[in-house]
Amino acid sequence: MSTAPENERDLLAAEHALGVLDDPQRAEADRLAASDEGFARLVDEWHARFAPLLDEIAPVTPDAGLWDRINDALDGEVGRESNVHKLERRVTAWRTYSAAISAVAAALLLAVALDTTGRAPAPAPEQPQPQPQRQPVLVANVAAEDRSAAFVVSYDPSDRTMLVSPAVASPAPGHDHELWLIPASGTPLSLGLVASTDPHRLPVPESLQGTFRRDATIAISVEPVGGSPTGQPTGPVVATGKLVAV
Amino acid sequence: MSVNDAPPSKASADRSALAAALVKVGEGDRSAFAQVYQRTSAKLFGICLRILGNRNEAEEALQEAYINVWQKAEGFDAARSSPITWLATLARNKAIDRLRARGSRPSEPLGADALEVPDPSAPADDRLEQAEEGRALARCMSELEDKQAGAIRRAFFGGATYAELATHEGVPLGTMKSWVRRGLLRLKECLQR
Repeated sequence: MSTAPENERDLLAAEHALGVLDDPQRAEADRLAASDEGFARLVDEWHARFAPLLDEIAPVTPDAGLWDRINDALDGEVGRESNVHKLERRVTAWRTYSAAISAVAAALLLAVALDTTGRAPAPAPEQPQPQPQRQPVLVANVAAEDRSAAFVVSYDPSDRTMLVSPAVASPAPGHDHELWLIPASGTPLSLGLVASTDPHRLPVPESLQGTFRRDATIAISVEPVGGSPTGQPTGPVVATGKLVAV
Repeated sequence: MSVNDAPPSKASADRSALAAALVKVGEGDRSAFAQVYQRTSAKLFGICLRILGNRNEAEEALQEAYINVWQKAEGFDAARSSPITWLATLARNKAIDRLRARGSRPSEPLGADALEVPDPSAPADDRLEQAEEGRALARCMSELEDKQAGAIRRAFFGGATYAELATHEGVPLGTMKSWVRRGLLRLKECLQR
């Protein structure tokens, strides 16, 4: 079969993308793709042409432990990393993340401070009736170890709302992040869905207000759109954090 | 890939979000890497499982694939490849590498077998290409002769080389090459129509 040279080149790209070449030819095509951007582009075009074939394959969720193994392998890689440039970038990424968290925390503390100072000084009690003790604002830094998700959640007993400030959050499309309150001993109680990627207030149901206490844990799980159908977390818990008083 | 002037659909928004995450992975951002994994691992695992037909091996291939994603993401060019195609191609290559190293491969392209129980919790909207492109490829594949389409599928899913395809069909190597090459040219011509 005779083909024009440009067809010959495109056919080699097609054969390479298809994976039909034997090992030496494949290695040769790899070298060509590495040195010749035009050829690499042809290979990419063929990958895109074949891509719909991969859509025939149903997705299958891998073992949950696989993510940890990949992470461990990467930690090892980071340890061996000698490329200062790449390391610097990671530091930058970390700083960005820390800055985001700090900004959220600072905004939060400021909000809390303003809230406290802005409030009119409590009038002297007219009668010695014991005032309900003002309860502290509770804050949880809800973050995944791998920093794939990070939220600051605070609860102000005075207005019975919580402020949810996502710092790093993006549930997979078709999923929602659901907030859970986990008492020191007990099962998770749903606090509703994270409603926005911007800081937002959510009402806390009256039945749960008494459970918002120091040492309770806030957790975030990935759930189908609209939230857990069972009332308990059904998807992976991506981040947790203990409530502390501020 | 064509440039679309229409308002971005959900699929194209997802695609840009994934492309952005992949670019961040290229800058060494582990949290972006976690997002990419969460978003795509079921898709990529399905591919490895289909090619290798064995869960353990498929997981090993998937692990290698994601480590490769971490190492190679710097070279990902959103202007040139769709992110999910880039990822899926990487996973497919890793699975085929393993298949070749193993020295044995399924004699028939695997059908929908028992291993592939579709996972209802997996994101359903991560199709690699638009439905339209999928239909076009299916139509053009069906226009090929059966032996051409069969050989192309066997190579694509089974990592079969020309020599193996020729042995399987009991035809000379040169004949097989010319079937496949003619098929590829017709495929391209059909997809351009």
